[in-house]
This record gives sequence, structure tokens and C-alpha cells, in this order.
Amino acid sequence: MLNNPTILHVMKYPKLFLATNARKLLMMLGITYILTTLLLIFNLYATERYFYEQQNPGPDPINATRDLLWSSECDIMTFIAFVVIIISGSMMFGALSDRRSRLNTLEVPASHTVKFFTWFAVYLPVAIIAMWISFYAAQITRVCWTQLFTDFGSYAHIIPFHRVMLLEGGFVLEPSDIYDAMTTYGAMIFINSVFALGSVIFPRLSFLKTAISCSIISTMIGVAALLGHLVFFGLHANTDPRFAIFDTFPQREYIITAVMLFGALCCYLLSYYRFKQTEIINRW
Amino acid sequence: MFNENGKAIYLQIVDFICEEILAGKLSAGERLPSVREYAARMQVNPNTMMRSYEYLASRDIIFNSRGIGYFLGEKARDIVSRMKRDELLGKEINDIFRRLNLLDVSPELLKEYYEKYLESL
Amino acid sequence: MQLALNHLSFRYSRRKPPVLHDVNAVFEQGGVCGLLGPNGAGKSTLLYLMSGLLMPTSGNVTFDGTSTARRKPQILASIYLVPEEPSLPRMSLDQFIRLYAGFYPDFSMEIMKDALKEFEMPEVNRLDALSMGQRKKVILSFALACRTPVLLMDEPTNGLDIPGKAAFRRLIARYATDDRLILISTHQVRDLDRILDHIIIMNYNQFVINASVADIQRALHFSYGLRELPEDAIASIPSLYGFDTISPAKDDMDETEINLEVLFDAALKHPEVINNLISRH
Repeated sequence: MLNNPTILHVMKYPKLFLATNARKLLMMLGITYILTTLLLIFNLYATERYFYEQQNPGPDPINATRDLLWSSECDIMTFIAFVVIIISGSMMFGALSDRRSRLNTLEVPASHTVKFFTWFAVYLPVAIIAMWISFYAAQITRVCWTQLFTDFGSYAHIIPFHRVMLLEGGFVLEPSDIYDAMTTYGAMIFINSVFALGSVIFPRLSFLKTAISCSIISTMIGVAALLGHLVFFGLHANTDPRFAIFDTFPQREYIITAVMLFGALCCYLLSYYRFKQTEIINRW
Repeated sequence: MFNENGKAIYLQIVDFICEEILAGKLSAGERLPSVREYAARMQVNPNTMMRSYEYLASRDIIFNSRGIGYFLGEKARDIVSRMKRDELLGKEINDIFRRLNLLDVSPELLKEYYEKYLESL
Repeated sequence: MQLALNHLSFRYSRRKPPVLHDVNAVFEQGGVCGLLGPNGAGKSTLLYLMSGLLMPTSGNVTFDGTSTARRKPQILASIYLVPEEPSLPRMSLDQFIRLYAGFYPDFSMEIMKDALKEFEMPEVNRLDALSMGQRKKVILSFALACRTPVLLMDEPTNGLDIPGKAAFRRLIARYATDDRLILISTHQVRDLDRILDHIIIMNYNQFVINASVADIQRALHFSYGLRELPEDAIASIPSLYGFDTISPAKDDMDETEINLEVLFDAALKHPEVINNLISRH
């Protein structure tokens, strides 16, 4: 029977995983919501203060305030998004973090693939969707707060949901917003994959160890890139026409996103194979 | 029931069942518990229980009705009686005889005590 | 069903001595096998290797030909390991069964209920609030109910109260069917000696004894409480009334019950003598 996994069989492990981790996941959702709400409300007062102190409001103060507010709110949400995505990456292989949990997880009769995809699905796409939901809920809360507890009338606007998803402010949607969103999400997926790989390599204190390893590795890469540039181009900028593609937009965005997604794919694959080799003891 | 005497457990179980038969707790034709049930009750491995049943079956004390279970044979009580008597008079009693001899107890004295015991019943 | 150890070797790290070295054995279905050995001999390690929780250093463990280290779901569903200190998630017993039983195709609710009744476990709402002994009772009941072809248990009676140990013996006797292999690793020989029908004693990264109880009883004579040591005693330990000993069995003797404590002593000190006698019969 187990030789031909049907949809029902495949869903058994995800169901188990969600049931045993429901509290933890909902708590994370709650914390994201609360944290975002607090920052948005703080930002609300800060923006109002900033405008209050402006001597010259400009020709269209109402739309300007709204744009400024949305733009700063999107920055806040982007910041929180990165925090969330890093933490969820660190938790991706949390089922293997301590000995007892490892024993229980490895012994469940489901394939490595099913287990991996369950964790991947929960800690990347579902995390992002949950993040959008909590951002939007925080937005609604912020707007309610604006209307109930303040007299900042011009601030009671709620960001449209697609803007929350794109993490971009500005009333008029421009193409550059889409490209920015593309690179932002590419970066988030890549960072998620790096911390996920870290969580399977370092079962204990994975966040800390991954952060330190990444700092070391990126410093090394940065130094290598700097030396490479100095060697080839000295202290001048790179004027070789073959590298011109890095100045054209949107090609540059496509390349950056593609490289990051490729990097993410490599990290996820590596973490999958490392997972297959996990034992009840921690050899590394 | 299980003591440190060292006698194989399956033989101790055989002794136990024989006592039940002699005491009349099992009647001819009665069905015995299944191997597994009895093993569970005795807290022993089912194979051990199997050996007990096989031992009893090989002496026609119980018989196996395929698919239904083990039943007490018609002549079970007589067979057990005879078997136990042979064991007692053949081996077990030698220990007592050795001690009686050591203490210079004559057969007549022994007979006196045995008869007094039978009267008190 | 066949669980085979093929030239199995394992060491935790290069600095430490090997826990297992070139061990070969074949386990077939039908039997309750006891795994004994001194502390640190590698009993838990062997169970982990059998269930795919550890990767062998060389050689492999195969279940019907497939290596268990690959952790294929079909094999994981055929081998159930009860660890020494099991943990249970934060949920009710009903929810636990609903979530986990589906992974084991032969799971039987009647056996689960019977086992829980035998252990006198009441209805449980918070599994993680149970004491260790109660948790063990729940996991043991679940393990038996899964009816996997292979059931591995690491010190199952450790932490069980006295009625629990008796219940455990009754349950094993009841549910150790011919199509199952039950392998119990233990130090508590007195808890289990009557329900075993095969004995493995491990020492110095080998199986020093690997024989059925029947063969051992045919080859060796166990004496209890002797005043003097017989001349042909292979090993002896002092006991309440004298010495408990092992000597070679003679044809005119009745078979005696195995004394695992002396056998253990003998296996560690004179394994060759013991094995010669066993193989001769």
C-alpha cells in the first residue's frame, strides 16, 4: 500500500507536522502581527511629528503625507519581512534540533522528500503568506488606531493589499516597483535558503552560527571582490563595455534575481541532501 | 509458582497443569486455554508454553484438535496419576529415604507414621 | 521477513574504539529476542542502526534486502523502535492515535485498547503531562498495536512499576506472533527472562552469544544453590543458598531453566566454551 503513495498518504505527514506545531506557528504569526502593529503606530506618530515640524508643507500636503506614510510603512514591513524570513529559515529543520525530536521525526514513516517539502512549504511560501496577512491586519489596526485615538485625519488610509505584497509604497504603481519587488523577494528567498541550510548543518543555536558563518563568508567574498576589482581596474570605475549590462535596467534586476534564485536552489538542494544524511547523533 | 529450583519452566508448567488435573479442576474433554492465552497468563514465551503442551500431548494427557485447540484426554487423570507416582517413588522419594536411613528410622516406624497420617484425614 | 546484519561495523568517531566490528547475523520472523551486554557494549547503538537512525561505518543492515539507513517509508513502517525515554507530543491520546496510526497499515485499535487496559492506563488528555512510566505504557501499547514485522525495544521495563512489568510480559506473550520479530535490549534480565526465546549477548563489539533458548537449555545445565562447585562448572555466581553454576549438560539430566545472570558472566569470561557446547548440540 505504501508503495503507491496517493494524495491521502502524502498528506499524512503535513497533517501531523501542522498538528504538532500549530501552537508554535500561530504564536509566530501573532508576534509578527503585534510587532508590525507597534512599529506602524510608532511610525504614525513619528511621521505626524515630522510633518508638524515642516515649515513648508508643499502644494499637495494630504497626498504627500499619505505617500510618506506608506513609503515608511513599506520600509518597516520590508524590514520585518527580512527578519521573519530569516527566522523561518532558521526554523526549517527545527524538527531535527534536539535528540528526542530527531528520533521522532526520522522514525515517522514518510519519505525524506515529503518531510522536506512539508517544512519548506511551511517555512517559505506559507510564512510569506502569513506575513502578508499579519501586515494587512497590522495596517487595519493602525488605521483603526488613527481614527479612534488620534486626530491625524489625513493618515487614515489603508495601503491596498497588492502594495503590501509588493512591499512598495507610492500611490502610482510604476514598473520599477515590480522590479524592486522581484529583487526583494529574490533576496528574501536566498536568505531564507541560506539560514535553512544553516539550520540543517547546525542543529543547535542555528541562527547564531549561521549568522556568524554568513558574516565570515560574505566578508571573504567582499574582500575577494574588492581585490579583484583593484587588480583589474585599479581605483577607477569599471568602464569595460562588456559589463555595461550591469548598468541597464531592468536587465540588471533580472540577473540579480536569477543569481539569487539559483543560489537559493543550491542551498535548498544541499540542505535536502544533508537532511538525508542526518543521524540521531550530531557528528559535526 | 516459579522458583529458583532450576527446573525448566516448561516442565514447571507441566507440573502445575498436572496438579490441576489431579485436583479435579479440569475435567475430561474440557478445552484448555489456547497456547497464547495461557502463555500470557503465565507471563512466559508462547514457545515455552507450546513445549509444555507438546510434552503433555506426547503422553496422551491432552490432545490437539486441529484448528479448535487442546482438550483434556479421557484417561488424563489416570495417566497423570501414574506418571506422578512413578516420579515420586522413582526419584523424589530417594531424598527422603536417604535422610530416614541417616536417622535410623526403620520401615515399621515409617509405616506407623504414615498410617497415623491417613487416619487423621 | 528477514532483518540481516551484513559485516556491520560502527564507531562513533575515529578516536573511539568501534562499537561493532564485522557483525553478521540474520533475524527471521517469529520470536522474542533478548539483547544483553555490559554498559556501553552498543545495545542502543545496534537498535539505532537497525532502525536507520545511525549510518554504519561499514557494512549494512538490510530489511528484506534494502538497507535501513536509506529510511524508505515502507521500511520505516515495518520497523518500530521504542526508545528508552520516549517523548510524546502535547495532545490527547485520541488525537495522537488519529495522527500517527495511519502510518502503520496494520495498526489495530483493539490491541491498543487491550494493552492500555492491561497497563491500567486511564483516558489521557495531555500526553506530555504524563510521568515517564506512563508515557512508556502508552508508547508500548501503541508499538504493539502497530503490528510491525519488527519491533525493537530499548529497556522497555525501565521505569515501569511492578504491575506494569507483569502487564508487559503478558502483552508480549499475547502479541508476539509468528510473523513478528521482537528484539528487546535490556539490563533487567529478571523482568524478561521467561518471555525470551532467543538470546544475544554483546561484548567487545561482537555478538559473543547468539542462540535460541532451546539450544542453550539443551547444551548447558544450570544449577542453583549448590553447596560446592562441581568440577565441570564453566562459570558460577554466588547466590542465596550457595552457588548458581553452569556446566555442560548430560543426557540423563532434565533440562534446566536458564539463569541469565550466570550465562552473562560465562559469556563474558568463557564465550568459546559456551559456544562450542551450544554448536555441538
